[in-house]
Amino acid sequence: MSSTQRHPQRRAQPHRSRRRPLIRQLLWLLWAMSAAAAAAAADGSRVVVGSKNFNESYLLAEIMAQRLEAEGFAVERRFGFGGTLLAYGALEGGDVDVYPEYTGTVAQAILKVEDLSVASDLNALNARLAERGHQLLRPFGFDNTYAIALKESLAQQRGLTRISDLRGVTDLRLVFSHEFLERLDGWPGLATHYGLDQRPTGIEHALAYQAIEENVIDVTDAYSTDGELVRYGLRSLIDDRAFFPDYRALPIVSREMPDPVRQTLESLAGRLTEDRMQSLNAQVVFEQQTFAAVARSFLQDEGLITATAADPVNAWQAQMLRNTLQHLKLTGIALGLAVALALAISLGSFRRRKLAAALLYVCSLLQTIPSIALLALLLPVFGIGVVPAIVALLLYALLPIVRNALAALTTVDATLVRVAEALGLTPLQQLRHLYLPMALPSILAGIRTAAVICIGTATLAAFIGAGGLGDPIVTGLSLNKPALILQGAVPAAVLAVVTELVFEAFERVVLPPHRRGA
Amino acid sequence: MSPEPAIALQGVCKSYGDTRVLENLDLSLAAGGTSAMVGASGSGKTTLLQLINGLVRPDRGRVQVFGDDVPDAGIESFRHRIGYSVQGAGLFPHLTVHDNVTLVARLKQQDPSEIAERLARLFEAMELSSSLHARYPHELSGGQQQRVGLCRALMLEPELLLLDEPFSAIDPITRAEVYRLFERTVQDQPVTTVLVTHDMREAVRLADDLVILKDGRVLQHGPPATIIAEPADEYVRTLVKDQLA
Repeated sequence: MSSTQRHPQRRAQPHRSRRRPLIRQLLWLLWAMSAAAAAAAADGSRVVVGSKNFNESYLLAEIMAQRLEAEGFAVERRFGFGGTLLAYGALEGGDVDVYPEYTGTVAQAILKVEDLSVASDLNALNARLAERGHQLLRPFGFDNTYAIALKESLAQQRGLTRISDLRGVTDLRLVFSHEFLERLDGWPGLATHYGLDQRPTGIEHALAYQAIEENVIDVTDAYSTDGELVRYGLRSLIDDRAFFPDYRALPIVSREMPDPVRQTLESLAGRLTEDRMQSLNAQVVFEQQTFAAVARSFLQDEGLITATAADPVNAWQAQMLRNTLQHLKLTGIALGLAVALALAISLGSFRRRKLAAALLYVCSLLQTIPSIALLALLLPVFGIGVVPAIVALLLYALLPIVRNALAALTTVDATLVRVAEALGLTPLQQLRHLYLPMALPSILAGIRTAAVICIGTATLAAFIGAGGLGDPIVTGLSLNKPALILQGAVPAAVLAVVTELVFEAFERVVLPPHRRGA
Repeated sequence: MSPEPAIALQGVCKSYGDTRVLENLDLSLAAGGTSAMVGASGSGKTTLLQLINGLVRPDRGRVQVFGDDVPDAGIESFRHRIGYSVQGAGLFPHLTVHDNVTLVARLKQQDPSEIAERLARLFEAMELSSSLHARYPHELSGGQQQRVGLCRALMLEPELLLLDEPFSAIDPITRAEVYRLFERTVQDQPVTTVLVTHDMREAVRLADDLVILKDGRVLQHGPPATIIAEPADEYVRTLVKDQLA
């Protein structure tokens, strides 16, 4: 649902043609590795359940996962994909077998149809999805569509019950999420449909409820199953002219999904009303319960699971350790490859000023691509999971190393270079015995910066199911759960400090005292 | 001139961009002695020196060393036969004194005991303590650095030694000492030497053959006594008078 993913194809082309042959070879090598890994994983016995990175998606995915486990299927959870494009990309690539989706999103973001009324016609959607080998199962029951929300007290005072009541109202502060302001099925379409002529401004969705609560804004957009609607005492205006398309939640699966799995998932159909979903969401957001616990109690209430196994006591510690190790693996591999690639780039180009400048520009350019957009660019080649996460981290780590290395290599004292030549050192020996050691302190400083960037940026792995410390951070952010955020942020901070110490020790070993930096 | 000169330049021209540095230069330097290129900044003396070890290539003309043209391929082994020392010594700051002096010998995989022996001999002649081996260049005095630089230039027992103002950054008192030590060292290990300097006094002190350069041309070439007694023109006369007074 993110606007940064709208045009991946258009941006992918010029980007790809700019790569050097060496980089291309490396990328193909990584691709081959990912293909091998995928082949190894595709033993067919497991069902991989995915989710996007917002509350309701996690919860629905967890419910599906536990339901499948109750029927004896082995389940792998790959939760937290950073948006529709990545989640659907995972399904397309076979990395995920099922994830929760919404009919309106299928129509708009996946099938890209103009007429969004098709979203209410499940057969029509399935007919189009069949061409791509995918299928929507029967809906969970509720419709999580857009809602226009305001404080109950304000609504009563002004006598507002329907969206059409907003016509001609000019003194209320209408502030919507940026996405809602852009989307065709958001404000532009709504304003035309209802003849509204207000000029609303934008706000980050996560801040909107708080802003309403504190009377900073009056009206905002919401999702009709958001727990916050109840919590903050908000009223949703009735869509009396039926503008918003259906956003019925349902599992989207591959058509090749075995029947027993499909039937198990369909056993969930129709069991979640809007009120029920709202209350389940609220249990996670406001009562600080885990997805697993909320999903389990729901399934038990429905008689869909019998087991009463509770969360193991040390679950979060074990999870934290697993996340930290995964984080370390991602950053370690990415940093290692980045060092090799950055040194190849720097050493191969520093004697040619123009080439060096051009390569530096490319590295800077890579740095400016937002992480979600970069993952979207990598999706067609690498799919999702560990490999594209490593490639993205590698690309982000290049700039500090290349910049430092080139700066140091191109400023080695000209007299020393002349002496090295005059002594009869071959170009390779000059590199080994003059340029590299002279540039080493600067290169190490660059690698140090890159390492810390990697550790910080590796949270992006959570968007594409590669795990790591980004998992609790992304989940915690989407749920506004500081404790969960800290479960990722604290180990990440510790990793960053430890990395600094390790590099300091390393510099002590490889550099004489007068060559060491700060 | 002796039958085979150590160095022969014929019709050499060299420009950097629009600046002409050497103009149709012919020059022969005899083997076995010390020749000094004397001239002001911009006279072309350093370019001339760098033509000899191929750091600079002529635009036109021919440069021969011991009868052979300066090679394109295999320039490294050609340079191993030529010692080179510059103003400020140009020691590698990341290497210890020992590693600076022995770097190329070790890269050529010469016998370690031979390397150690030559190093000891050079250090003794230059009156450098072996306790300096483990030091880094920045821990030495200017005079010590320069002497270490000369040891490095002589380490491979070259046939030819090129010196680009190696004494000019040292204070005058130390400089006299380094002259003495240098002369003693090359007495033990005779080598054809080409010295570039702007200091007439230094040239007369160390060389038996002077080449006076101005604006890329040789004004006068001969033994110091001849140049002092019969300067070829007004410029040389002034140079001799001002600097040797």
